[in-house]
Amino acid sequence: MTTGTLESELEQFYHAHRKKHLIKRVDEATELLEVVLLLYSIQEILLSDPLAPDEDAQVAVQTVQDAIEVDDFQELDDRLPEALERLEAERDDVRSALRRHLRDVEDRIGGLEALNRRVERVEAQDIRDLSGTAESIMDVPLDQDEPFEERNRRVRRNTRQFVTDLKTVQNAMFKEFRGSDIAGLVRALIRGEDVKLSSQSGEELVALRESTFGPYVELTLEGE
Amino acid sequence: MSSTLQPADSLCPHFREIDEELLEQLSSEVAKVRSQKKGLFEFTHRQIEVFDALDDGEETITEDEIYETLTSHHEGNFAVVIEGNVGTGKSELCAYLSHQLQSDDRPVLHIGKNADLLSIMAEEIPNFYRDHFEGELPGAGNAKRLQRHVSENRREVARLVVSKAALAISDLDDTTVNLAGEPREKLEDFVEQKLTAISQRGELAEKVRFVEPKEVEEFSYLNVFDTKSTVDAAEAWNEAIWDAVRDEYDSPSMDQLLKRVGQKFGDNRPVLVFEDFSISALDAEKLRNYMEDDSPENNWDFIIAGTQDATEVLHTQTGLERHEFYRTNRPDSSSVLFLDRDTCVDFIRPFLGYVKHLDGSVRYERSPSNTIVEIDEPDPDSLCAECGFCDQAFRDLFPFNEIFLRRIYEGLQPEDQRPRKYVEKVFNVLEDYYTEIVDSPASSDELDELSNPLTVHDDIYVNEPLRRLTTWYGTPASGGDRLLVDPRFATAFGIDESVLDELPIELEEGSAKTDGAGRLWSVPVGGADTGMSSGGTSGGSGGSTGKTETKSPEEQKIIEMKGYLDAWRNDPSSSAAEDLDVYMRRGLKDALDTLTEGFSLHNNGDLEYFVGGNEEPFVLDGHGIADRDQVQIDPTDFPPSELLALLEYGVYREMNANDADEVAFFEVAGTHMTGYARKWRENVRTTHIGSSTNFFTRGSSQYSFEDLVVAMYGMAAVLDDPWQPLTAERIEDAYLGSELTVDEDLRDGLSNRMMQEQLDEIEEFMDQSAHAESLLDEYFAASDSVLDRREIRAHLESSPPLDVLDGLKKTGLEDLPANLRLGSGAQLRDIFLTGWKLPGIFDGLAGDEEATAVVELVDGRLRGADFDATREYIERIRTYDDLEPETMENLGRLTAYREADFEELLSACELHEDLSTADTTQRRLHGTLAGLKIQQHDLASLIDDLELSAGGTHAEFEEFQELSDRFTDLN
Repeated sequence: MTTGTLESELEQFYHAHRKKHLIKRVDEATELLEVVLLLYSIQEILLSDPLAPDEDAQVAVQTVQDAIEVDDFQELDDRLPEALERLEAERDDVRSALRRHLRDVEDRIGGLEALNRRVERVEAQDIRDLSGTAESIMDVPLDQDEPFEERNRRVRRNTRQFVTDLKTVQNAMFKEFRGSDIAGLVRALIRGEDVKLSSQSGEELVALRESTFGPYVELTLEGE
Repeated sequence: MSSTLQPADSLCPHFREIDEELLEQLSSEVAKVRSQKKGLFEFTHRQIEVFDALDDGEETITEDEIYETLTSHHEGNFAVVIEGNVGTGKSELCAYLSHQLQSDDRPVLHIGKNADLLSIMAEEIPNFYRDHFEGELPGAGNAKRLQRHVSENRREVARLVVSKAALAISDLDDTTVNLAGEPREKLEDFVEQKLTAISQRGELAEKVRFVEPKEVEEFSYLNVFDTKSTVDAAEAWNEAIWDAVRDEYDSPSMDQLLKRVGQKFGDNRPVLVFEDFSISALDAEKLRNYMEDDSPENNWDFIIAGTQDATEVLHTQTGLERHEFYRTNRPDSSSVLFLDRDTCVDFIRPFLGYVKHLDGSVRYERSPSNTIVEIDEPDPDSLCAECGFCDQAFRDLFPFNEIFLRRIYEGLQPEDQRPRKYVEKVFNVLEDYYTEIVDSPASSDELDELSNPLTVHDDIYVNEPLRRLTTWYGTPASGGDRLLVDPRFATAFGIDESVLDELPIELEEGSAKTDGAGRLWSVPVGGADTGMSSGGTSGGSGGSTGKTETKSPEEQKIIEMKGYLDAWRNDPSSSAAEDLDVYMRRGLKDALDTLTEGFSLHNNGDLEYFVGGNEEPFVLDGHGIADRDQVQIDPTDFPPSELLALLEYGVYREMNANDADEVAFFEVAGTHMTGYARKWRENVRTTHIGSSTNFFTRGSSQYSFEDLVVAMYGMAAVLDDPWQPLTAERIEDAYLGSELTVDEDLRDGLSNRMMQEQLDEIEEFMDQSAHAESLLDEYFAASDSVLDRREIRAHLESSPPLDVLDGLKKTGLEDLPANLRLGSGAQLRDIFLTGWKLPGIFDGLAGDEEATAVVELVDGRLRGADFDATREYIERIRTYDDLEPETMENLGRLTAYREADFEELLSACELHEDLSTADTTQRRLHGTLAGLKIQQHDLASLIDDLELSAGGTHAEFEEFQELSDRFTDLN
């Protein structure tokens, strides 16, 4: 049993308890930082124009870091909420950007899959794997037992692999059309871009109709 | 007494020149003394009549007839035996017969009451012989020698006699005599004492013997017989010792001596008078045998007087046939034939008249039987003729009158209405008068022993000299409601006629008999309303006389009892005052009851000494020593006015308590009675309350009752709230507050340490604290709501309560009378016995450290803590919802307490700490009790139970630092 007056005991108890409480919050912040940094790694690989870190969030995190360095728990207590808030916002922003990008990617994969059903150029499974990866790529690993750097490397590796696999499938699919009249059109389709018939030349339209895309194009048109 | 007003401003001339020796002879209880003075004897002797002792009838025999039997012819010895109770005239009769026989020239040997056996044999008989014959009586020399040896060498005589007697006894059958060493010495001591008895006459009418039957039982050295009864054994010893004496001195027995003397007288028969036959007890049987001897050579006439006991030995067949037996008094009483209500004045008359007879002032004419038939005029040259104050009605009797003398006789108890007592009483009163102890014979306290039921009007009653004069000298008037007093007696004894002005006394013409008296004083008898109205003056119409109003039973009782007040005052146990005594005692008791507010020990106090219905808070003088709870009251301290008031009060209290006029009584006797009440209280307080040994053991005798009261209440206050220091202020607060009970937390604490029985005893103690409170009130209340704190503080400091209770003595408390109690009926001993138990119950508890750990923790947590800051931390902590539920709950409970609660608890801790190490058991126990309460107290428990551990709080911020560095470094 500690000794001292009730007042000082309560004081100590209060401080100790607050510290415990802050550690938990700092842990939350740490986790958020991990998520954000991992998402940064993903966007860095996936996006051609990755988001720059929010400066306000950086400042908020820095003040928390400063408070920890000087053991100013009161300051810590005061600053933590903002830091957490800003980190959460940063996390959400990065996620949004990624999600936007991945939606395009998923579209393209869908195009590839549809095309492949006509042309059967690649194994259907490979395309399905790509789709699965695209869906889960933002689920960053938070397993505390694994050091952050390991996880980060793995995320980067996986992301890069995804990019490579996607390219491979696209290339395999595109090989048939390379040099044809509709090479540009297929590329656009694969990219998931809109193909405007009005803008196509007559040759292109003939070539398209005679190609394996004919029914697809029709369907698409009918569908619009 | 200084100034006395007697006839002609002086004592009666006869008493002024009185010869005191003469008066003593007149009143002497021994007729022999009078008989030696023949003139006096003859003047005063009144013919005696007796009964035949052998006949139950009322037939009477005169002294002259007895005399005749002595003068008639007898063959051999002859005896007249006069039996009778003490003081009934036996000696008077002996004296008369002696005188008559001497007048007839008969040789008379008169043995008085004070003679002793050896003097009779060694002196009186030889002297008698010498008076009548030449030479010495043969054998008398030996008796003389014996007498000398007994008087000078009694021890040697005893030694000689014991040897012989022991041998004589051992010769008898069935005896085991082994007298050596100590038993022998004891027997010699015994005989030596007895020799004194036969040589110096002691008590009258007591048989003189060596050994009495009861002494055989009492002294083992006398009990040497195997089979004899104690009576026979005593007889055997008497004979053996007396024979040994006579044998040693070759001394004849009395009968032998008498025989030798008698034979010398021949025809002129000598007479031997024995006023008290018990003197001769040692020789009684030999003497009797001689008296019964009718051989012609024997010629003695015996006159033997004695009580029945002494003369029993003479009642043999022969004796009853040969002798005459008479009895002076009636069989069942001491009354005699020649003295009764009618004759008492004439009986005493010559005794009083003798003094005045010597100078011819008083001359009587008598009948042949010496009875006075008329009083002659005084001799012209006599003192009475010269003085002229008295008239014939009372001249010879002065300073008495006839009615006075009759009242004396009638006032005697029946068993005392016999000649000796009567004469004694009259002369004792007379002596008080002529030695000027009193102004008037009526004022003599000798009269107080007598019963005189006469009462007078209250206004007269309180004038004591006048009352006494009236009730002794006054003659009842026809109608019975007045007493007529000859004013000459008032004048004679210094009572001035001016008293009549203020008193309801009328003047009335006298009868022919009281000629010369002028107008008589007519005094109303009875109570205040009798006769005329109170304060009436003389000369009224007198018409009111005879107007009788109906009196209440109480008034009648007062009148009835009033006459015995003097007797009561003189001796409350006298049979005359027997009835009155009840009322007087009732009055005294009830008055003390009122004045002490129901026998309480202090004014307005609750402490009382219960006096039960059969108990009295006083003892009257002469009736034993006052008990510890009684006051001694001397009835003679009460003046008549107070006595009368007491009587009235007592009668009403006894008969009709509600109508008793207490105020009136206290107006008269309040001061006096208050004195007794105060004394009573002092007595009870001193003996019961004031004595330390009643309550405390020897080692604790320094403590007082007041210490005990403070201790009882003080301990109750501690148990009621052990957190408060025991101070005078605390006691006052407790006194002003509600009833004291054991503090609940303390009770819980104690119940862990004690058995139920002990807890019950503590509760009992607390129950008694209410009683202790009333004692506190009684002893220390300065006013209604304030105690004398200074006084209480002094007791607390000098006498620690627990030490005081520890010093109580159980047996002493148990011996306190049950009467000592409070108004509620609670007995002091019960109250204090609960206090006596307390130290035992707490034995070993003082300094107990079980509570110390808690107290120290609580104390440590609270001391120096700022309440507001503490409160602030609690509030802040409670904002975290991730606390342990228990901690959260306890902190929540803590917020319910106010700052004052914390302060109270902290000061309790301080008190505990302060007291636990103190130097007195009282303080250490108090400390422990305070600790026990702390241990059980909610707030203390809460503080004690409060777990404030946040667990390991080591901070690991490295990961955050690392990541945040990375984060903030990004562009």
